[in-house]
Parts: sequence; C-alpha cells; structure tokens
Amino acid sequence: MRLPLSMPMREAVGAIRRARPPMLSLGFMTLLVVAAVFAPLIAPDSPRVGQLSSRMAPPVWLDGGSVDHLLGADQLGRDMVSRLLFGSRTSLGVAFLAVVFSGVIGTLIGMVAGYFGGRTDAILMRITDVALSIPLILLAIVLVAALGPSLQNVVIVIILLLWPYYARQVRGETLTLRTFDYVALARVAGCPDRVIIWRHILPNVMPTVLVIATLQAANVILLEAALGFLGVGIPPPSPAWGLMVGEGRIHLATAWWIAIWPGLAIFLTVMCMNIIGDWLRDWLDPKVQ
Amino acid sequence: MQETHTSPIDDPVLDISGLTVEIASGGQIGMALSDISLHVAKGECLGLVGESGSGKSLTALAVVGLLPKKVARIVRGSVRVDGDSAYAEDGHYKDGLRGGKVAMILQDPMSALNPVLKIGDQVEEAIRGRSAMSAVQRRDRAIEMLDLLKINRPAERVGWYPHQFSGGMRQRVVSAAALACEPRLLIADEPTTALDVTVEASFSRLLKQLQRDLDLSVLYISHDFSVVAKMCDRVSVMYGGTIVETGRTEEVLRTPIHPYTDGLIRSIPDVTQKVEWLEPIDGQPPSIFDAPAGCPFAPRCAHASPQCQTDRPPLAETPDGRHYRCWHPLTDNAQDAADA
Repeated sequence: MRLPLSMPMREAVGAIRRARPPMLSLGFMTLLVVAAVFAPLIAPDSPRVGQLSSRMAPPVWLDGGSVDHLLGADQLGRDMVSRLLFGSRTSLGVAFLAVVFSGVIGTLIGMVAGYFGGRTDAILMRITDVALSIPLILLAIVLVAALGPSLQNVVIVIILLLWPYYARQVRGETLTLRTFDYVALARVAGCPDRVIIWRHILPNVMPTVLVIATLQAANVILLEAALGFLGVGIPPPSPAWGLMVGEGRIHLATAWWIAIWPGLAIFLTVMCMNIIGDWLRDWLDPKVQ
Repeated sequence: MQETHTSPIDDPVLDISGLTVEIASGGQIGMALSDISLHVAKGECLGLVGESGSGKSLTALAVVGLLPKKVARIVRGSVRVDGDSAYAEDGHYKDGLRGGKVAMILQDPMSALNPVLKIGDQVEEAIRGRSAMSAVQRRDRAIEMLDLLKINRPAERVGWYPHQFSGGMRQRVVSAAALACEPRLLIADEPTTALDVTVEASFSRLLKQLQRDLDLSVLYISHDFSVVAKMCDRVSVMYGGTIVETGRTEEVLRTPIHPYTDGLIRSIPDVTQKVEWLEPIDGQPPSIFDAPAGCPFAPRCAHASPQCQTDRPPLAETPDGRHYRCWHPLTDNAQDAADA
C-alpha cells in the first residue's frame, strides 16, 4: 500500500476504506476542527471576560451548578465551555503552523542533504544532530523566556525544535531514492538538480512526511500545553489548554473542573492524533500488513 | 571545432578512444577500464558483450557522465559524442550533452520509472527543458512516441501511472521517453534482461525495427551473445576491463579470433543441434584489484603461454579490419578471416 498518491481518486478512496481507518479518532478530530473554526459562533460566553459572581461555579450536574456554565466556571468566573472551545483554536492553530513550517524546513534540508551527499550532507546532518541532542522542554523554556512569551514566539520555538525529525527521516529516504534509475535517467535527460528534487524526490517522500506530521502534531499540542502549564507559553488571559491546566492546578482540591476539562481535552486530542498517525504509518508501510 | 568533417563514416556518433578508468574502493585502486576504444557510426548498432564486471556498464556510465564521482576517475582517453568531447579539460562532464544528444534505456524498467508520476510526464521529461514546445505540443509528442513504441490507446495511457503497466510495456514506455528527444546516440544497457523470453523477443524486434526506421545509432550492452547476434551490426567483446575483440557480428560469431570470444560462443545453447554438453569457461574473471600483469584472460585460457602471463597483448588488426588483443589468436580463424 505504498504511495497512495499515485492512485486515481476513486481507487484511493476505495483503498482507504478497505484499510479500516480509526473512525472514532478521525471523527473526534473532525469535530474538534469544526469546533475550533466556529468557536465564536458556538461559544456561549466570552473566553476572556468573566463574571466574578459565577467564580468557580461547578458543572451543571453538581450542587450549585447552573445551565449558564455547563462545565462550570474558572477562578475568574469565565465559562469553561467557551474557554475550552477557544483553547482548541490556540492548540490546533499552533500545531498546524508549527507542523507545516517545521515540515517544510525539515523536508527541504533532508532532501538536499540526502540528494547531494558529501560535504553538504555532513554539514546539514551535524547541525541536525546538534539540534536533536538538546532537551526539548529545556530549550523551549530558555528560548521563550529570552524572546518573551507570545503566540508567535511559541510557534517559532516549536518549529526550531521539530524540523530535525523530518530532516533525518527524509534524508534517509532520499539516499535510497537517488539510487533509482529514474533519477539517473533524469540527469541524462538534462534535468537540473532542483527539478529532480522537486519532481522525483519530493512526491516519493511525501507519505513519510505526512506520517511524521501527524505524529508531530500530537507532540506540538503536548509541548505547547507543557509550556503553558509552566507559564512560558501563550500568556494569559488568552485561552490555551496548557495554561488552563496550570492555572487550575492550585484549585484542584476545591474546583477540580478548572484543570480537569482542559487536561482531558489535551489527552483526547493527543491520543486521537497518535492513533491516526500510527494507522497512517502502518497503512503506508508495505512491510506491516 | 578544428577537426575537418569528412565522410559520415569517418565521423562517428560515438567515439571512445583509449578510455582508462580507475576505481578506488576500500583503500585499493584498480583499473576498471583499460584502454577502451570503440566507435558507433550513424545508424549503426554496436554490441558490447561480456560477463558481469567486465566493464560494459561502466563504459556506458562514462559516456553519459554518471561515473560515481568519488570512486571512479578517468585517467586517460577521450569520449566524443558527435565530434564534441564529452569531458572538459578539468574532467567535468559537459552539460551540453545532456537533454537530447544521448539517451539511455536501462535494465530494470521498474526502477527507471518514477512510481508517482504519470508516464506522459516522464516521456516528456527530456523534451521539457530543451525545446520551445508548448504543453500541448509536448503532450502530442509523448502520445506520438508511445504510439511509435506500439502502446495501444496512447492518448488515454499518457495519464496512467507506471504500476498500471506490465514489465514489457514499462520498458517500451522507458524507450519512448529515451527516444522522445531524438537522441544522436541511444545506449541500451541490457534492456531485455529483466523481461521474460517471449516479451524479450518482441521488444528486441521492435527496437531493431525502430533502429532501422529512425536510423538510430545504438550502443547495445548485453551479456547474451544470442541477443546481440540479432540486434547488432558489429560487436565488441569485453573481458576484465578491456575490449578483447571487435568485428562484424556475423564474422565474430563464425570465426572468433580471441579464445575468450570462442569460449563465450561455445557456451550458447543451440536448439538446432543436439549437444550433450555445453562447454563452460573454467574459472572466474579476475578481480580488478588483483588484475594479472599480462592478458586478463590468461589464467583461464587454454592457449596461454608464459608471455601471456607477463605482457599485455597490444591491439592488433586483421587485414580485413577486425581488431583483437591476443598473443595467440585462434590463427586458423584469423587466417580464414584474412582470406575471406
């Protein structure tokens, strides 16, 4: 089942259906994306401004709960449902931006290193090794602390941390791909190197890149949440899941819902993305089947 | 160009002279090709025959400038395509030869086509950068080429992917791509080895017919004398990195001069004759890192003398223009050839 990109549409849809995708995870992710996109329309309340009268209001099914705040309200009286919905925008937005940019950078570096080999390869791969040898969280904290916490900086830091994973994998695949005869024939036909990389290497590494991207998206959400929890992520009062867990931590004994709901959201999202990524990897790998 | 152009016969499409290539591997240096000289005239098919490791494919790679950079080095000699030297003074391959002048068909049609690109795009590849054709003209040209290579319904199939074709058809697609740019020289490196026998026969026939119709110049590399006999006007036999014998195919087959050629021909099964036992050539070809000082074939040769062990035989020519490298040519044959 390698290279589904080379299939006509109808055949591809049939093949995907036969491959038994994890429908529950895909369904949850679809729902989450829809919720994130339409958050301003769905959310019952503002995610930033609360009413102190409903401070730490419990979820509706507990004593003292009201339908105004289905999942309760936080320490500043902000509605949890609204915070969660807007928080999904942050998490998914950061994940999307970071994954796309680190994917583009990493894939490009990997292809160039693998295709040209020699000194180019040595230099690029040593840089990659160095980047991989630094503990993620530590560097992220230092960088965000230095640059100042903001959405933009969090995304930049995560991109800096993630590209080496793409680069290393893509380089390995490119090393194999460049030995294929069609690459030699393209050179004989007079194709410049950049055309060979674009037309012959890139489409062949795309399945791998997609798999890494899916698995990395889960990592990004975790990383962003961890930064938020540690207080070096996206600054308050922006709604972000990690930040919400961090803020709710001190109220865990009295108002558990402030930390539990965003924690559950992180957990479910990351789990679904990992399941989807695992499935993609198996499905695209001819050896597992 | 300072050379004066004389008759087309004197002006070969491919002219390799004295090509010597060194291979460095694991700290050892060996002569992979020594003093290779051959030429392919316009409209001619030259066969290059030899066993694995004799240097056939390496010769082809030298012509298209794909010698593995760090491993192989051209020590001496020249490669000329259409009178232009393929390599610049500093040893770099000239890009001008790419994209049209020389095209190639390789052994494995699976690996020669990119699985994620439509075959139409791959056939168009060689004409893409070179000519000022519009996209529509290029597509027409691709369809025309597929039709020429006897692919049915070419207009529909330009949109297909390689996995939708059988092995024989893939090799025809590869050939269509190779011929699309009207190359001056086609290098066919064992194009039928990966195909099964019936497909091989039809593919060879098609290639031969195209070679005649299009007046193609072909360097046809094979380990199989019977295929070369059908395809080629002349044949060069390679052994241990040298060309041991060159001549017109039917003459070489009828009256081989070099004992190695003789051995190769004797080892071809012939269904028309009842033969109890094919004669194999005893022994193994020499490693290039441990090449004999004299004739590379000497250790396996029944006619070898002490001179064969120590001195490399020079290139000799029979009166009728056949070339060989042997101290002890199968003289009867050489004589016959001279008398003929």
